[in-house]
Amino acid sequence: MRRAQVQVQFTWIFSLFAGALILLFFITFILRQKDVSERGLSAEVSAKLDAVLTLAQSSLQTSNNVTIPGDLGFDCTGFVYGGARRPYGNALVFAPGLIQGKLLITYADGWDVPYRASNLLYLTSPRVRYIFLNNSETVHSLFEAMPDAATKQSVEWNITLMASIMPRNDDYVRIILGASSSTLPSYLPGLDALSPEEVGVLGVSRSVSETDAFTVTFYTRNPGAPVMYSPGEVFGVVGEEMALAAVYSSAELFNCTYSRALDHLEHITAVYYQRSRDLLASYRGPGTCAQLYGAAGSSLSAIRREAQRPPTLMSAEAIAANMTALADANQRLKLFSCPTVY
Amino acid sequence: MRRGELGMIEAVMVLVVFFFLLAVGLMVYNGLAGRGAVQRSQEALELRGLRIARLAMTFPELQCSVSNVIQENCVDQLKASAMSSLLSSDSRARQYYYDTFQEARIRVRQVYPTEEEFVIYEREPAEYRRSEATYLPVIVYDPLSSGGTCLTLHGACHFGTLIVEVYQ
Repeated sequence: MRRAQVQVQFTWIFSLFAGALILLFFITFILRQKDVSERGLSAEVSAKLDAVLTLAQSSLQTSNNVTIPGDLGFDCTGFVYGGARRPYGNALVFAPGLIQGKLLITYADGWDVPYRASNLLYLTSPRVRYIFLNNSETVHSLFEAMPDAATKQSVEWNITLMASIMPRNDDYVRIILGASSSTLPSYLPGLDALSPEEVGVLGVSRSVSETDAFTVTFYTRNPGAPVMYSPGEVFGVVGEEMALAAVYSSAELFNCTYSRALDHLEHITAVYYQRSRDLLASYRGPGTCAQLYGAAGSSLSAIRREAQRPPTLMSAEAIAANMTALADANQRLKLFSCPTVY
Repeated sequence: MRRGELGMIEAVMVLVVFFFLLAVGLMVYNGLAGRGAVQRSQEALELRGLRIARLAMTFPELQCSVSNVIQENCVDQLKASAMSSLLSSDSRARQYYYDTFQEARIRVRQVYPTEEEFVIYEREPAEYRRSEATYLPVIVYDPLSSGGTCLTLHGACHFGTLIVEVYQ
């Protein structure tokens, strides 16, 4: 081969190599920029959603429809959008595990025990359907407490009416009934075709002591089994707001978030307990108020102790009984024109 | 030098100039992007301060209330002091509130009628580049002051500022 021929070949190889290098550089640069931009966008959207949720949390008893850019995943301590996870600190958020679609319904309420322990934020989507089987006062009350913006319906406890419940194009169907295993709806043949991921049953009942304690039971679906739904996790909870929180949540999310709520209850009760002691220590008025501060302190101490225990009905009832005693002491302090405990 | 060799050197020189310009372009781009990132992180710090201040103002642990009727923009002095002692004595509580406030310092400075300051929460990092303070005017409610009323509450109203410092 002559030298001139070799030179021509070398020039071609050199040009190809240089061209490929330049092309590779630009492709890498573009892909990297795309990745950075997507992550930045997810983080920005997450930050905006976080701000929306913070605002929603302080707007009590107000329902808001928030447009969201895409699916939102929720766990106990944060939410995920587009791969970016954002923790929400100690906020108590109750939501299905996944919200699909473009609309988020937010609703917040105070958790009063009887002092304000925390604000609870409920999240759902119009694509999640709530069917309240109206077989108890509690179920009716929960139906009324849920905002109208949610896709909810109340169905009388009647076999024919219940049998007529059919699946629609919902992401998830949550059935709520006054719990007791004997009243479990094996009367919902219309929903048999749905998978365990598409339907769930929640039983809610008020404690027989008629206090503000409730039992919530998450039933799990057994496809093909003779008993279609069997009781899963059971919790004793305090306050109707917390029973409503269970309506919005999956069992797993509720378990974790309610544990965090009890942690918060323990700490805030310590603050109120110390406050009642300070009021008692500095009080120089009639003896009745001093006695009432003492009684309030005992109730607060008992609530704090029970909040440290697992969430059984027994501990919920003990908290509820002390709540009643504390509310009574506080009311009497007000009547005697003494500074109130809460 | 032969004509072919000259052509080769010319092509290599073109590539060298091209990559030199590309490197200069990338350096300028990185510089601008870096400046944007600093500005964004400053904004994020300010937003975090505001967020924590807003959270603190809606915290039942600090808010003034009578039978659950909340008084806006009001810090109960007894609650603040109780929370401060809880956070200094209970490590579980300290860890719990860290999830909300993270590395920050929250204090209430009473300015009228007397000057007084109490720290509610304090978690300062060992090292930080800068800090940002957010100030919110508040009523400081003293329930132990007898004989008067503060808005609808028994006790006295003082005036002060809630100060939230966040670190980066």
